[in-house]
Amino acid sequence: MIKNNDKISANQVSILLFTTMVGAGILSLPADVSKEVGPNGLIAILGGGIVSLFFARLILYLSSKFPTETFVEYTGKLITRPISIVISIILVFYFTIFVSLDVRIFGEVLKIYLLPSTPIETIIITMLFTSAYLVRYGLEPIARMSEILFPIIVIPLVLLFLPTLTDIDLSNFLPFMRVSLVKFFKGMLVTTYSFVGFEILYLLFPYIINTDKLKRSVNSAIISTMLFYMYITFFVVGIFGYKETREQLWPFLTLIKSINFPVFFIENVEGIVMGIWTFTIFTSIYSFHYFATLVLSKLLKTREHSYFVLPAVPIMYSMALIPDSIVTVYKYAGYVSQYMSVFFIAILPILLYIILKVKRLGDKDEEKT
Amino acid sequence: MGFFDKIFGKKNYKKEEKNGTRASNSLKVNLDYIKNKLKDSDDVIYRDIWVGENQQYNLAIVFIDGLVDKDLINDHVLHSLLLDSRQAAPSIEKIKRNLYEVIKKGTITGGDIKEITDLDKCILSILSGDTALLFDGSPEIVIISSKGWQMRSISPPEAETVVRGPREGFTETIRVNTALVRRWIRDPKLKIKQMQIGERTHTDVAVLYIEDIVDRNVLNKVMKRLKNIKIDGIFESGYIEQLIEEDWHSPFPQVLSTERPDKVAASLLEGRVAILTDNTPFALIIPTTLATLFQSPEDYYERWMISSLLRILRFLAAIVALISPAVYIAFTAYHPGLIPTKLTLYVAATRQGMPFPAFFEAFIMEATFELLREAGVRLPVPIGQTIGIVGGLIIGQAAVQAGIVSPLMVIVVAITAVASFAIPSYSAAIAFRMLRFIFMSLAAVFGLYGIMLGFMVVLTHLVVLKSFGVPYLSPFVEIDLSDLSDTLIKAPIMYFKNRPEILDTPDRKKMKDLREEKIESIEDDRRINNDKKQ
Repeated sequence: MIKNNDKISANQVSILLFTTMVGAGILSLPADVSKEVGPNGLIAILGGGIVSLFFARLILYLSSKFPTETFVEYTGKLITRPISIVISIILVFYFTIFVSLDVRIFGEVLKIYLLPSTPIETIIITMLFTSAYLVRYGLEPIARMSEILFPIIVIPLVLLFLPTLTDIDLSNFLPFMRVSLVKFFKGMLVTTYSFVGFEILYLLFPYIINTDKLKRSVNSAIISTMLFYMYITFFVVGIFGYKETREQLWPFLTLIKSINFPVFFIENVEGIVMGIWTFTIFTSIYSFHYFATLVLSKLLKTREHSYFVLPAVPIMYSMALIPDSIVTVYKYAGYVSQYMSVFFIAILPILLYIILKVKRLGDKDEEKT
Repeated sequence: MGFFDKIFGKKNYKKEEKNGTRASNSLKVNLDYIKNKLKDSDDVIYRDIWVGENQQYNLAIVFIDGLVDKDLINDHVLHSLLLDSRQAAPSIEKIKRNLYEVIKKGTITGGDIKEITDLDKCILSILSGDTALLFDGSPEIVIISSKGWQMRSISPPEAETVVRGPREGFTETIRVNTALVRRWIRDPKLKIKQMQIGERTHTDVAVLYIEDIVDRNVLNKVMKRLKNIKIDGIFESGYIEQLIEEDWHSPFPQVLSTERPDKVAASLLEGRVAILTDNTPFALIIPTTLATLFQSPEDYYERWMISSLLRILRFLAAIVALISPAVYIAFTAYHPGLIPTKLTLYVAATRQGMPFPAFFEAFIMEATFELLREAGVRLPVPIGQTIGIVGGLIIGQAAVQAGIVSPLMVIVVAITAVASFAIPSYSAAIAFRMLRFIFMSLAAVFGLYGIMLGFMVVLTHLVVLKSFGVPYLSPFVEIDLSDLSDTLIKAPIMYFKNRPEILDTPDRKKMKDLREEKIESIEDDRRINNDKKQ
């Protein structure tokens, strides 16, 4: 039970992490992973999940050393104030870019599947304003929103695929692991990008009530995300085969288009899936939107994050419209994940960890992750 | 600033500090004071009486005609004072020492009396229907509770009828209502705190809670907010509801109103607070969450399967009432490809030659329906039915035949209407009815995406909303599995071992786990059967 505002429970963290990680990535993940590792997508996702879990726990360990301080404050202690400010500014941009990319991909998909004659600008701006409306109220409503939307997202998506179970050809997953190790690691890296979002753990720690259960909830969040991705990839690759999958932009949606239940009076489930997918994107957008403004407010030492919520909307809007086509969007997304994500997911936590150990900072000594 | 101060400022309200006027020793002075205060009120009755063997003691009674039980005054006040006291006269010595004590303790046979020395309070008591007995030579005034006016008898609650369950509903008299709740809970821990709100109406308001179950945070909030109310008059519990709720922008009710004493009693046992207001049969239950708006007392009286099915039905009804016209608009105007081909062709055929776009068509029909409903509510019952026939049959039929609306649209409107009546709480149904028009407009602009946008905005509003500190969407948020057993479904009664987790109740346990005993009794039966066979 939560009475004091802006504190959330470990269970809510788990759900918030899941809904943040699962975003625009599910559309293209089967194609991306098939490009790199062919039929071994499932194993690559498993590997990516384990890697993500390791780094998520590392980030959690770092922030748990400074239980009352936010990212801006504790990195200031570790790597001097000026560098910390630079990294924080990059982090704000990083989250902002994610909002823009997600909302742009969302707009493109919606334009193709639902609203062919509506200008994409309208879709993007309405989505951003809806997100701003929620984000202004802070972390607690955000966590509750994720809790509400989580079953609405997961249950229908899991059930929708079941009727296609008979179409799966298991030989699509063969040959098993006949891929070079370099390619396999590259594939693992690609899947790790689908887990981006757990960087919010850098910032979350001071806002959690029962921090002792946090490790378990981070584990369950990343493992369930991994299973969810594996579930979708299993169906997509199992039905299309990796050769067909990698040629497509959004194999997930192609599969959805092929599902039909004549008995249930539903000829195609696109409408339903688009509805669910709107929620999926919404959960990622508001989360990144919130944490971008949160870091900014900590940087400028303002009392409330809400001052920055609305001013961020036009920036995100114009950033979302910079790429001229969906191909460029994915090119930019590739750059962001190759450079910025690697930095925030892997390089920064390792760096901070080493400095932490060298400087022997931190409030309490917990056991290692 | 000045503008907002005018609207929201507190400065205009000047509180009158009343220290009260102490009664004097002289009967005449006291009576004159009361007469002066209540002048030009012709329903006030003053009666001077002489008591004692030689009729040497001067007394007066004051009451308001119509508010008091005259039989009680005649039998237990006047008769006692004037006749019985003479037949069994107390000793002269005693009377000389203290006439007031003798009469208060030895003469008046009325049950409920109290004494006060404040004349303003005395006048307030007279105005509430009590009888004041004034003495010469004593500043104390005896107030005899003699409330007895014409009141409606206890009748079934009209807005919340059940097939199985008690038929009693609250009435307009607070004393009767508190008694109705007391009859359900014979627990000394049931507290009924009474206060008067309204500087002019002095309306009785009672706060009910069970001392060792209630969520203290909620109770303190309720008490604080009630004490903060400064208003000239309270006319219905709706006044209090609007004055104490958290967010008055919200279309959703944050306080549940009910006419049923069993619902109030059950809520008290869950750790909630109830507020009863004089002059209205509607009690308020605090805190209220979205899930409680879908509960009907009957759910707990019937067996769990049918209750669960009905719960699911009600939630579906809410969704249908909210979005079905919007979905119609979205599919016909934007996404005909998303519905089955046969249906698309059918819809296209029925909409052939329609002069209006789908949104306009839906809007006209929904507005007409709201019009009919409003007209039906205002009219007396026999004519109200006529309106129903005119509206439903004639307008609906005629509109379709004239080719203004499609038959499918009429069906959608009818289903929406029926669905909105399936929500047990009237005020919640109103919220869904209003939001429906917003969803229709959004669907007209963005199709299915508009409906999703609407959902996201409404959900945002709901996750932010709290009712007296309790999240409005709990237990769907801050999930606790045991609480979910009484939301979308109603689990068998043995699963309700504890009170709801969303409330911070000191006494958590609701009942003993019976399941083990059940297994034991089954084994006993088996043993007996085996013995018989042998």
